Amino acid sequence: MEEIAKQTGLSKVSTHKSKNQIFELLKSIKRNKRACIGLVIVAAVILIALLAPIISPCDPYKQDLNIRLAEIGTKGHILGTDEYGRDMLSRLIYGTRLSLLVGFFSVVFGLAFGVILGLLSGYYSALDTLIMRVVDVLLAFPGVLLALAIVSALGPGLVNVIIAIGIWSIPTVARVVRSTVLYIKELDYVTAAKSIGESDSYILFKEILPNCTSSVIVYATMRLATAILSASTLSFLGLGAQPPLSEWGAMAATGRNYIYQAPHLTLLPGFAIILVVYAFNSLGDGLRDALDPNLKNAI
Amino acid sequence: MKKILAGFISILLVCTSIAGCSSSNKASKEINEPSAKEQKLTYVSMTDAVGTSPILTNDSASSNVIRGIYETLFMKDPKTGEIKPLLADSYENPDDNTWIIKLKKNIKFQDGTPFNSEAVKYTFEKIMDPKTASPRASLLKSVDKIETPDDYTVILHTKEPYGIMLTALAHDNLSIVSPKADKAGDINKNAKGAGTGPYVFSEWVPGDHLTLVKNPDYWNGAPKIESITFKVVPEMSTAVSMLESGEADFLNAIPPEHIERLKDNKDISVTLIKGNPTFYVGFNFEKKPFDNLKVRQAISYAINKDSYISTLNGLGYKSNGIIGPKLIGYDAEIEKHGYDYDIAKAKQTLAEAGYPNGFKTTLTVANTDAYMKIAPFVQAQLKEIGITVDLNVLDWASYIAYSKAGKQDIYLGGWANATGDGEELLYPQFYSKSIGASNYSRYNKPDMDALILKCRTTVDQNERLKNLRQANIALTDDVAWIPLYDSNVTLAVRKNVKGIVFEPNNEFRLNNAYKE
Amino acid sequence: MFNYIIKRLLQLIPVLFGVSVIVFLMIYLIPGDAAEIIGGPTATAEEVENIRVKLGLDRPMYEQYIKYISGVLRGELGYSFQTGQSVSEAIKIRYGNTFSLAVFSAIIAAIIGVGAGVIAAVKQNSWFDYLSMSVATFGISAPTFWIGLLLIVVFCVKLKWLPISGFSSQFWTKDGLTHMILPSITLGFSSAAMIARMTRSSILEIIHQDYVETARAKGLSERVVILKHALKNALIPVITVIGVNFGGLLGGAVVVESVFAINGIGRLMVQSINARDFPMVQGTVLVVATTFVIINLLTDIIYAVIDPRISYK
Repeated sequence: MEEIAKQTGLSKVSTHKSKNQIFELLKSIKRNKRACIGLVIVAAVILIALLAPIISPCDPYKQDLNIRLAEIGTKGHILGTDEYGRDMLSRLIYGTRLSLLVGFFSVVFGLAFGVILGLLSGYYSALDTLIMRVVDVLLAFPGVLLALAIVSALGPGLVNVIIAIGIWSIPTVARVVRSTVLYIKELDYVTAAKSIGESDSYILFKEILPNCTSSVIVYATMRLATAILSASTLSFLGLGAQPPLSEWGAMAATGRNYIYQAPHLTLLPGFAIILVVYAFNSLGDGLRDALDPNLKNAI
Repeated sequence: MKKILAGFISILLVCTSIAGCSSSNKASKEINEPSAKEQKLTYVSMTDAVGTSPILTNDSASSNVIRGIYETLFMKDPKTGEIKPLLADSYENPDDNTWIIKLKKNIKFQDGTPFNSEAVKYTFEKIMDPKTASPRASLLKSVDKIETPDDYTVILHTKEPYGIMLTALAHDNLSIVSPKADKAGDINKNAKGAGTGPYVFSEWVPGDHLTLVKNPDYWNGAPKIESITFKVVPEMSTAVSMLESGEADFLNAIPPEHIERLKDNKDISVTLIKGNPTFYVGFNFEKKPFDNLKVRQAISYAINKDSYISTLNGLGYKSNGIIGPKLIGYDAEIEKHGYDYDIAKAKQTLAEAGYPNGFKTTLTVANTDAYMKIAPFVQAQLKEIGITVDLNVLDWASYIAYSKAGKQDIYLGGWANATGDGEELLYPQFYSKSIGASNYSRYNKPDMDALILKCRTTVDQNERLKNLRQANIALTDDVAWIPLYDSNVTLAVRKNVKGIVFEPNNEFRLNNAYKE
Repeated sequence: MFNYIIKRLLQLIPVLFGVSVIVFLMIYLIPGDAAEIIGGPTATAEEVENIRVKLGLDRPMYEQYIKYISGVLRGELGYSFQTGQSVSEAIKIRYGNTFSLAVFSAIIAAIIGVGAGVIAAVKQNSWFDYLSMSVATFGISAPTFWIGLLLIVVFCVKLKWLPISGFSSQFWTKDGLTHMILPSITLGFSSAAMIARMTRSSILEIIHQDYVETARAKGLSERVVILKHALKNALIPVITVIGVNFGGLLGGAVVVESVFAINGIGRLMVQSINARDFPMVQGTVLVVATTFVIINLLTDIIYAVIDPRISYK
């Protein structure tokens, strides 16, 4: 695996950042239809999340047991109500916030540790074996169990769910970054920087890290999708977001009990998850093609 | 664009097929349904048995199996709740500390050894031995000495009068085991021949299923059922689907969201009886402001129990008593006590307590289904009177540890009473010496302690009942708990299965079951 | 090659050791212990303490670990706290189920994935391409339990085509096969989808490369070109996916095992951690981790066989 990652994870190296990079990126996404759709959906979902209080028709936490389990199309509740009579549409809208939050922060958490481990391991050969063995342990450890343990220890709050899911991405990020570093550190400009006596931290953070960003961004986008799915798995095991939060995974998981009585309770959040996960995956694909074509087989 | 369209169509396909399911219920060919005459039963349960020895287990999945294999000296009549002899023949109390129990004769364990006083002594002494670490050793805690003057007489001497001796002796965990079988092997894993009951242990694939077969020599008449399989199905929706498809024959403890659907199914009959498992909001009496009666009253006023019960599809009923209607010690007078939903009074009482603007607190909940459904409701109700509630959801093991240590503010609890006696609720829940164990509320009041001890030690039944009623009123007035609802227990059975006896504590007996 | 395998197997030792230490710490850091679960909510402090003594939970932490690990070194995985059952027995019962479930879903995923991917690539932009890629997208994006539930509702309850439970690992019998299909599809759906997409894009890429053009120019039929040249090279990423996912299948099987009532190792692991049943948690984690590492090794070896460009240190 390591060897493969090394061979395929070579990233495009550019020491000079073009000012038009973002523009170029957008242009190349524009050429890719799927990435385009993904970008549009992601943008829309972010917008919905930001505007949630304005666009939700009702308070997502307001219960009314008299109108519980109302069907789709009920007057005043376009998407029906859940088992406490809460408005489904509003809950789904607020759910975008929570699901994006879980996705975003768990990825940031995973990246923070993964990138540092990867950088150190790739740059200092003395640390390499140690760190890679730790990464091996993390990889071999069943993810579900790790999450279960973390959430059991800390309680199933949103923050703990984020930590639990974040830890899953550490080993993979570390590997991706390490293989990039291993390649870059042998390049001329890095050896040149070394020879003129630049400090290690300067080389690591100013010369090497910027060149890892493209692979990291691509990985992060796709990981966001996985994180949202993982949150729903945790909810299925009873360890996800706490009530009354309307995180989609939790909604789909608790709604599954009503699959015969009121299928929309689990179907709607399920479709919402599919839509967002699809969008992030497509965007990730597009970014990968644009930023880092060689990465295609590594992730 | 084509792509999006195709994606949309595939989503639509799934949608329509699901929607179709929820409305139509047409019978087509059944799969795997065993031929009707075959006398085999399959029961599905969400958890596997922990073991098959009454001495070493204390969970309902194990009890369901144990009840088939073993028998107790006394048993509770499923209809009347009255305690009557089973393996015992009669008993007498020459004084409050002595129980002379005569045993039935000519009963044999499934391994061929005779059932006699030695077996009773062996079983009870094993439970009482600290080295055995029996989880239900406390049932016999008052017993000092066991004598066996002859083969069919057992004399239990107690340290102090033990009012609920008969109820305790009817508890599944005091089932009598064959000393020979117990000495020969680990009956917790393989209970072949270890009991006197109607069914014999046959096979156990842990995590998957456990099978009992009929005991042709059963002293009370061999059962008609050839074999019973206890199948583990962790996912409730799956279990319900299996009952519908005929892969399972019966199922109990069905959650409200599935009950209507099962009732509508013409192949399935649903029995619903008033049961004793109760759900409540508990307080930590050692934490402010819950030591304040007014605060507890206000919270009680704030919760609309009727409204929540209406969501249970008939699976819950209301009682104000902490000792509920299906327990010994209940009297209807208690319904005049308690503090029923009245939002104006709730706000007023909270203001009187010194919290006109409410306060912030944490509700500790175990992450099992029933509690998780109640929690958001209680949270929303308390918000109405200005109390902001954060939920602290814990897995079962953490919940027990956390609550025993008294770290919670308020918590959701449940109590299922195996013996059906109110005392089995008072002593563990409200006796000061149970703090650190089952007394999660850390309820510690000398008056109550004295009353509970009286309930425990009084042998005269009328006197006991009076004490229990008195304790019930005192606790209810003091809002020691807020009882949310008592459960109606449910059993769903395929129509061709008859004769299952179902009890208010959610237990079933299969002695006389058969398939038509 | 041989040395390489030996070296990789030796690396397994520190990994497993690390895993066992983490599991041990984990169990002791999370609140609640096995004795309280066994005692249940009714247990008195005394009853719980007796159970604790019996299980050895009253001993200091390091002592418990040393006792455990020396047992493991002698090849004994110990006994369950909760049921007293031998851990290796308990794992033996369940491992076959989970393993065959994982293998079968990997096979299904590979067949469907490669098949759909090849057709979609060859008939690029046809309706088949769009439909299969849409279904693939659906498969990657949906929560597993959700898919499983929908499949049960549609195929078992509504259509009554397939049974829900009664899984056995004998997928070569007709009965075993009918029980295996839905769980395997549920578990393998996302892998199948990933493989399909990967196959499609690698083939598209390779089809336009020089040596394939050459083969085509030599007059080889389109089918031969695709099967012999394009597919072979496209297989490398596909194997990566299968390898990576297989580990995930083992660890992630818990959801499918719950939904379809399969007596598997994932469920055992989750139950054991819920019961704080330390020897059982250790046993299951060690077995899953070992399988994971070995599968990775196998994947790497297969690479070498398929792609001679890859060499080993």
